[in-house]
Amino acid sequence: MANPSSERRGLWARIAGNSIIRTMARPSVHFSLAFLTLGGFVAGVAFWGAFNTALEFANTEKFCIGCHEMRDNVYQELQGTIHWTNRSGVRATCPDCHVPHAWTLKIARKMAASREIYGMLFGVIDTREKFLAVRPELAQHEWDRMSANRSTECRNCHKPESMNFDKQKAQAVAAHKNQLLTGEKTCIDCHKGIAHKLPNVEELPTFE
Amino acid sequence: MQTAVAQSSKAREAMSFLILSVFIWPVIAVGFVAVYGFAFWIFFILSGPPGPA
Ligand code: HEC
Ligand code: HEC
Ligand code: HEC
Repeated sequence: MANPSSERRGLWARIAGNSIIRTMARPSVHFSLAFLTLGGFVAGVAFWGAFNTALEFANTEKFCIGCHEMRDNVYQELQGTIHWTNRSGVRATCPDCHVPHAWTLKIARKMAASREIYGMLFGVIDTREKFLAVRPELAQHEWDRMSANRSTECRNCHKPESMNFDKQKAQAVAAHKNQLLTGEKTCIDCHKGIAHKLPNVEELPTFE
Repeated sequence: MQTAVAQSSKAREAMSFLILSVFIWPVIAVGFVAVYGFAFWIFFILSGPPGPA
């Protein structure tokens, strides 16, 4: 640390010599510890509230369809599906299926969305054609993610243990008993394209 | 404490307190969370997506 009164005007010396910086680095003369800790406490509570409010807002469907890329493509398609209207009146929103609940995973997902901000700024999928062209890749990301986490997001609402097999179709019961309950497969392995149209797979040589 | 060193005025201390509590620490806190999130994102790119929570 440079001496504040030093004649040197290097960057560090200038920063260290700045009167506000010097004040910040020194014990307070005018304010008591009680006041300062209370101030820090109040600022901390306000910060935490604002942080969580912002995080929650970024986890609403309103936010997700704030860009036309999502509103004009996947959002329109969701509207014809069971997760839009059903006899139970439960509505699955984008974050219900696409954002993990665990804090670390949620924050990691939010940071991964910096790529989506880049995509929005540079119009990577700003037309239907561009969107359809990358759709297989985008869908594959979600399939990989859900296969790896055993469809955690589906299971936030659907519990295999709570399924009443008397009420399911025979085909469903067979699949669920033989492959779901045994842990051999998970929801997304069989139920692709339940919320949006499937990518056009034939057009894609790289796609098995 | 050397008495020669000028004491900060009350206004300057109050200003420092405000700058620290409403700007510097919040920016550092958000930056920390962002770095944490990026670290996990990069880790998941390398390791593949995480398993069941
Ligand atoms: C917000 C909660 C929620 C989430 C998350 C959710 N679902 Fe659903 N799902 C429902 C509800 C509610 C119904 C309709 C139940 C009813 O009334 O029959 C439903 C219905 C279904 C059906 C029945 C379709 C039919 O035609 O009968 C399937 C299959 C399904 N969901 C699969 C999934 C998969 C796969 C996921 C994960 C990608 C998922 N769901 C995520 C709430 C959810
Ligand atoms: C091994 C493949 C497989 C897996 C894994 C699987 N399903 Fe199914 N599921 C099916 C089949 C096949 C049907 C019947 C589809 C039909 O009749 O059109 C079905 C039907 C359903 C239905 C409608 C049942 C009915 O008869 O009304 C729901 C809801 C459902 N699945 C949810 C899920 C959820 C949630 C998971 C994950 C926890 C899951 N499934 C995992 C194959 C599977
Ligand atoms: C019921 C669960 C569910 C809901 C609700 C849902 N999605 Fe999806 N989404 C999926 C699944 C599963 C995939 C993987 C591709 C597939 O199977 O269709 C997917 C894929 C996508 C993709 C990749 C492109 C594609 O079509 O494959 C985007 C983008 C997307 N979703 C955005 C959204 C947005 C925005 C909303 C809210 C309007 C939303 N999703 C609501 C389950 C859901």
